[in-house]
Amino acid sequence: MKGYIGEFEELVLLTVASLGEQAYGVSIKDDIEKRSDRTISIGALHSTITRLEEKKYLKSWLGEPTQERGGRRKRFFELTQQGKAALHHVKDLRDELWKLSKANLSLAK
Amino acid sequence: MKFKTNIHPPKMADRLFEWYCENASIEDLHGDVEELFYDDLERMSAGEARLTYWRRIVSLMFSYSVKRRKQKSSLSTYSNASMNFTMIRHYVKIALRNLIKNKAFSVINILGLSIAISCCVLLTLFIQDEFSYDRHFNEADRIYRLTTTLKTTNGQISLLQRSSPPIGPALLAEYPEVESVTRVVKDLSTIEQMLRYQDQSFFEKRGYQVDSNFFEMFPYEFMEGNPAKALKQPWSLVLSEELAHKIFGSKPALDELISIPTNSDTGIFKVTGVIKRTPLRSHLDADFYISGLEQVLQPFTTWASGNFVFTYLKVKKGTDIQNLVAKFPALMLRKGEKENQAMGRKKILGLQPLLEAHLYSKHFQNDIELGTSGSITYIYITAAIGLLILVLASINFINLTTARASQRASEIGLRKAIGAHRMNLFLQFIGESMGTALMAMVVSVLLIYFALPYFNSLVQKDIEITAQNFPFVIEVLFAFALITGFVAGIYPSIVLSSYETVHLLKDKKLRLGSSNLMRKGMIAFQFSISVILISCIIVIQQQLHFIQTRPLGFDSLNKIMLPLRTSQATNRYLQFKNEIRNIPGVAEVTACSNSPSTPPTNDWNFYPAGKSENDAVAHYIIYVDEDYFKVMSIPTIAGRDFSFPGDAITGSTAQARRVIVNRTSLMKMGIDPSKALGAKVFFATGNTADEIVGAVEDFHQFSLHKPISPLIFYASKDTGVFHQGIVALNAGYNEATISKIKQAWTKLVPDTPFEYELLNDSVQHQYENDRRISTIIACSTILAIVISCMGLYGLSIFIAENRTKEIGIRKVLGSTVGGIMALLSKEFLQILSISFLMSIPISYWAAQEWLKNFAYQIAVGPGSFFIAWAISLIVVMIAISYESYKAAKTNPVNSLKSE
Repeated sequence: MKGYIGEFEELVLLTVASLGEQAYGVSIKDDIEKRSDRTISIGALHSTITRLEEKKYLKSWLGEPTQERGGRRKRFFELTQQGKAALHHVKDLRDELWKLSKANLSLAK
Repeated sequence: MKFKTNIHPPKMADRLFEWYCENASIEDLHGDVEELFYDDLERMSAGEARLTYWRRIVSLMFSYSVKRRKQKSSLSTYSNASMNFTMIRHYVKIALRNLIKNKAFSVINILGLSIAISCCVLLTLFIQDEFSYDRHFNEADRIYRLTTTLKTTNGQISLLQRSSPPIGPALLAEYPEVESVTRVVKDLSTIEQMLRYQDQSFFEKRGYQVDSNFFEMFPYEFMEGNPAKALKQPWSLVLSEELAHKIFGSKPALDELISIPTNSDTGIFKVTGVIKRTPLRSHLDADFYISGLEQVLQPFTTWASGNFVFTYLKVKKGTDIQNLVAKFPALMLRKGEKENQAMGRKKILGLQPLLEAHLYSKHFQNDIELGTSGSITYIYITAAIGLLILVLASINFINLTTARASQRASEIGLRKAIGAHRMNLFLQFIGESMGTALMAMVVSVLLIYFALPYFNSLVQKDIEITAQNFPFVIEVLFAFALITGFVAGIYPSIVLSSYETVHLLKDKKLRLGSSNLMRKGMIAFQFSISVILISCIIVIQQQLHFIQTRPLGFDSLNKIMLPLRTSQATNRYLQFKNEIRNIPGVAEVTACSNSPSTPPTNDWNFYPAGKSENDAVAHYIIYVDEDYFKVMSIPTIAGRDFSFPGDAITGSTAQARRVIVNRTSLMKMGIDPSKALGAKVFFATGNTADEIVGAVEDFHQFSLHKPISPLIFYASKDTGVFHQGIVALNAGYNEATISKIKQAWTKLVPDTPFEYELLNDSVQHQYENDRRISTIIACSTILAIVISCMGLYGLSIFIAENRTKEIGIRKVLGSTVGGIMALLSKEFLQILSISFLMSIPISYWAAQEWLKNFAYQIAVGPGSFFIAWAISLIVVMIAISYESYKAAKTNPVNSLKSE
């Protein structure tokens, strides 16, 4: 199936979208940890980001060096058109399945 | 929290991370981790934060992200790699262009290196084969061979790798450290043994009689039969696959009957096993093994004499060998002292590790050895030859590369100017030489393939490249190629990368001041090697010529030897003799136990009347038939020849015997030839006195490797002691006469096939080994000269090219072709003279070392060195004169018109 993305990948893409221009490694990690209440390893996060970049769902550029981080530059991320399409694809699939559900998915008793 | 600002992430982790990621762009990742570290410091202690930092670094190192970035690093714009793919491709391209541009240099380099690599690989295979002997046996490191040292009271020492029959089993019974013992005996009476199957006969050199547990200590893989049971019955016979195939073809051999006749009786043996052919080697390898040694050795109880048994001991794990050997003298004292004393000698037992048996046995009295024994000296010589050839080819490479480098001055200068580090240039040049070596390796695969059969016949091996040793061969090939590439490339790489940019670009030439001296030195070295090898080969040839032409004290021409292998042959010898005497071409017929070139093995000690046992002199015993000395043209110096049948004896009876001795015997025993007639000599352990009736002039019973030993001759009535019939022919070698002799033989001795050998051939066979070494040295000499000359040829091209203008001007000013050739050759001739002087002492030493193998040697004079020098001079002139001549003949207009 074309454009399949996993749960964690979806989470990363949506977080990048929500952070706008401030999406880089540490901010993405902090945001996901805060919202989903789980700790993620920096290695796993960057691996996922690299995969998403290779699938062309994300593009990146290097920022300007600052005094912080030992003068090392940050790499910022942004969603591409394909990335947005992939998110839509997942969302559509979910919505469709929600609609088709024969069991009552309402939490109200 | 202010105090925390002084805290930094662990440096070690940073370094590890940067080292691990090499030149991949990871600054964003690294920055993230550092930012997280300072965030963490707000929440946790410095120690915890550091630990977390470490954990994150490790997590990143193993992450997909870093893996990908490392892969991409060489192409990434963020990469700072100097050796990226594009540059490597560029280097390869430049290297190939240079190879193609200087075709002569490239061919010389690649061909020289490939010859060297092939030599080294072949010699490595040879050395590996030599070292593989006996290693495959189970627990080979716990097996030892019993050795014997005999010291006579007058100080003579002989070392034997054999001992007396009962000692082995006694050691097993006496010492708990000894786990098992097995014995091997080789039939000493004949070089080849005859095996008969139905009406066919086969002659085999390697056949041993062994104890029934032989295959327990030395497990061989059987193709037919069961190794555990094969030798349990007496009269059992185990064949090698080759021999079984020779006798039975593809039929099964098991349970077939084979008779093995000796000159006294014939045994019939049942085949109980066939050993599979493997590439594994042992000094115990044989074509057949027969059982029943226990029964044969049963009657031998003496601990002092009869040192003809090869005894192998396996000791228990953890045995201290020194300790075990230290116990032997006491046992020897108990069991054999009286007898040893009577023989006037001391006997000391020792142990030789099995793994040394093949290579380290040359110091033993080597007239009897199982299998062909190798020699560690040969291994050293071979290794030295291989390395020398490698060095010679590397020198060519170094000289040609540094010489050629002047053409690359602009390239190096430009590279330096646009920012190449010295290291970049170094890596470029060493890479080029490695690449050249790898190309040479490909060529050497072909060379090895074609040279292997010749090499095998030269070193008498059957080395094959099989599936088993193929990986090893490949490893060795690569190892030698890379080592050669590195060794040959390191000096030019250092030199070429060291020049100053300014000089390179301004002069467009390299100043080869110091490397010029270096080059001369290396050429001198190359030529010293060639001169040394040529001198050695001249000395060897002279010695071999000397051996072939030296009067041996007997007439070896026009005589044929007929081996008397079976009892039928010895029984009917006299009949046969009478029969063939009447053939017109036959002059005389006689027989003996051991003719010259078939060495006798029995030595007994004799002392003259008036002296004691302590002065006994070891004599070799030879039994002869009537007219032996007359037929062999051995002159009598005192007394008379044997008169038959009066002097003839039967067997070793106790009666007083009449003997003839040689001059050396008289000398050693201190008997004056004029008083020899009637002198009495005593056999050391008996009381009978033998009476000397005559003495003969010395002759070479043994090869010229050995000094003439005392000999004692008995006239024998009993033809069973004769191993050789000798027929003197009238008119030289003649097919018609031989076929008549053959007819008589076939009529009288139908059960033994007729065979004969010219006595002179047999005498010359003793020097086969020396001839082989001569061939090996000759081959390496030729290789060394070829490689050196290729290098010189290359250099002469370079020098002629470099001096084109100078030659042009000289010609304009009136120099002749001869004058210019002399100018160009002068330098080489100087070097050659220096190397001649350097080589003399080494050549002299090497020649003397080799000549030590011979008791009778030529004197090494200066002549051979001058001949060697003259030969190398001529060869060098041929190598360099072509280019010099071409340069000298060039029209000066062509060389001067462009500036």
